[in-house]
Amino acid sequence: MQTEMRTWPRMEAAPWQLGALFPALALMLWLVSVPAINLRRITDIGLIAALPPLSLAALALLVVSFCLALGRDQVRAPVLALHVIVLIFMLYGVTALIEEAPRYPVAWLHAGFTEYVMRTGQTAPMLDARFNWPGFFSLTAFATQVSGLESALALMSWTPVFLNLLYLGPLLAIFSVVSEDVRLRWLGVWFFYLANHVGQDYFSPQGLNYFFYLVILAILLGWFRAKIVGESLLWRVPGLRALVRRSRLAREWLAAEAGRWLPSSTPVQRVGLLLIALLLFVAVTVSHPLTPFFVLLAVTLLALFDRITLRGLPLIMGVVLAAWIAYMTTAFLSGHPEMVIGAFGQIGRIVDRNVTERLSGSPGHLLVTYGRLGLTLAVWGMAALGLLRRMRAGHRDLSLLLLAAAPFALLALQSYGGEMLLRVYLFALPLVAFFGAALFWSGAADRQRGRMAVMAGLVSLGLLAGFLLVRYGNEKMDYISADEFEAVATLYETAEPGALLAASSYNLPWKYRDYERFSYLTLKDEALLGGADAMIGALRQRQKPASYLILTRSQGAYLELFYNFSPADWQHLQDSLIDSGQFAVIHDSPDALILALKPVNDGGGE
Amino acid sequence: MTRATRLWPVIIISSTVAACLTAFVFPASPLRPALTLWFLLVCPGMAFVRLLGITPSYVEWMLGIALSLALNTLLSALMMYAHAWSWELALLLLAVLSVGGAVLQVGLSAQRSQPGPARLAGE
Repeated sequence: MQTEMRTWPRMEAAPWQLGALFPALALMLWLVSVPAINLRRITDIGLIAALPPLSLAALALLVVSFCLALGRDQVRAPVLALHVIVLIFMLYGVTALIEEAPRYPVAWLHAGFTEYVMRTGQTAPMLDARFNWPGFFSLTAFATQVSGLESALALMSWTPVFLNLLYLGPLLAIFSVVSEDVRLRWLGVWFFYLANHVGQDYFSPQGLNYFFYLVILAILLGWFRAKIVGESLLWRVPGLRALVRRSRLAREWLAAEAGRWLPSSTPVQRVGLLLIALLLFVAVTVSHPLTPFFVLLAVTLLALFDRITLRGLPLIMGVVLAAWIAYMTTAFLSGHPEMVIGAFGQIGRIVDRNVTERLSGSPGHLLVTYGRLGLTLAVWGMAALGLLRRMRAGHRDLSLLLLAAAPFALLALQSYGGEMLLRVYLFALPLVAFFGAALFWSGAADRQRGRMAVMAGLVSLGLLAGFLLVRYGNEKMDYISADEFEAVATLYETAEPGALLAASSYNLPWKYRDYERFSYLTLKDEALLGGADAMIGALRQRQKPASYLILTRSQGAYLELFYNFSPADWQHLQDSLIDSGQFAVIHDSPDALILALKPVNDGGGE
Repeated sequence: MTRATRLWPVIIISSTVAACLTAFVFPASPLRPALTLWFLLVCPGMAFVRLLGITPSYVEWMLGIALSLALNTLLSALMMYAHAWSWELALLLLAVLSVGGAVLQVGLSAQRSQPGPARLAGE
């Protein structure tokens, strides 16, 4: 492989240039067409409704070009790599090109945590649960200060492109271990990016930790695969060993990967690689509450089924994780035990929070939500068929199957605020994408290559449509205008420390500075059920020295998408608040309204 | 000694010098974000991953970047918990680590031939 990679550019200079032509053309068309997107014309089905035909043509051209490159007699990895890199830029960088401010309120909150660390040099475990896992925030604070940037906001818009480029290396490394078929590896990578619709790659600890998770898997599968199926821990379970010996199928699966793709390395190199894997795990443990469990589960299954030689590694990782939870998060978790096992075994509640509760809203939003479910099931179905095809071709990919199944175990433990299913999908996706690719390329004969390339192209177009619908389906509320951002900045300039800052929903670009100096309140239920009076009552009830209510365009879009609030309802709510006489208007712009609650004895009496 | 073996210590040391210069001596330089973020992303990890002789090169990059990010994370978190937050000190420590790893690369390649590459399984 090393020799092959070093000689490609010299040996095949002309094909490289030719193969680069179509992705370059697609990129050019994309860059020309994307500025024409008018975000004000986005409907309830999101960005896809506003994409110009030329943008869609650019994406289609890239898909066709990729499949042409796959179907050629001699496949060239640099050409395929260029297609994937252009795809990442187009799919994950589009919002950075068209939006006036970074998206996702949680990303703004993470910028606020970063600002807190920059300003105080400390973490604040009791201020917010996430500060019990502050590794990502200390990293971003450090990087922001070293680079001389004013705040982490400058890093946020392009984070999805940056993180998805990072994922490319470990994905390829994992697929390379499993198959020597270059087409299969790259189609797996291609499908991964077309199906990664969950949007966890924003400025967040989980986005970075997912990279660490993939690298740990790449290290273990790449250099620590078991040479023989030995006396693994699992076979010491009474009865299990005899059961395995009696079952031909079990023996076949357990033995199939033994001795295949063994790495070449010296003991010193293996020690170095193991130390890197352990350091990555420690970094994951101090940065995010959930990811270390995904890593631990995956590594434990690989060790239990004798897929890797490091049988003691799960124990070491378990000790690291337990020590962090026991010593560094006790103060917080003692008051919030539900954070860890709050929904243990309550499958019905978890399904409700992850699926059923999300199936509501405007007709357009429902289409996006059902699209998300449909795309997820389609990708899993494709993977199941691909797995069957691999099995028919004689492959027994037990390592990949274990890694694909491992994340589902956590689904029984936690609903994670209704997001666990998304995380399970994400952590299983690399393996699912590989099996999906195997549906088209699993030892296909040369004469079938053209047909398979066409089929892969058609499926890619379907996945692309699904991705655009699902990933950016909430664009109407996710998009933050410059006017909204400026209004929030005005709020921070106006409000005195200790003030209560309220909004009708969570989705606005706030909490990015002076996080600990203000109280925050969202009044969604009051806005939906009781209107202006209920909102005023909730603000008065808090009895803060000063209270501000900010209403922005994206909050109105949120209520429209999820609760069928009409634009007229939204306008009526704002008018009612102003007409109540309880507020002074301190900012009124096309996308934002800021109201200051009057004191009771200043015309604001009840 | 291969070209990459000669080149990487030079890249690491020059990147370290450039990052420290822009951060400490020319803080208003427009090149500061690019040079310092490049340093933080690549150099501390690559200074040590290069010692392992990993192939193919994309895997070496993957490990170098991952190790850099993990070292940055752990060092900054450690300083935070030790109530000794100082981005200047953290940058200096990473610079020393990077230069140390690069010098070790030069020393090892001069003293003896590199170990055989740790080839990724399947490659």
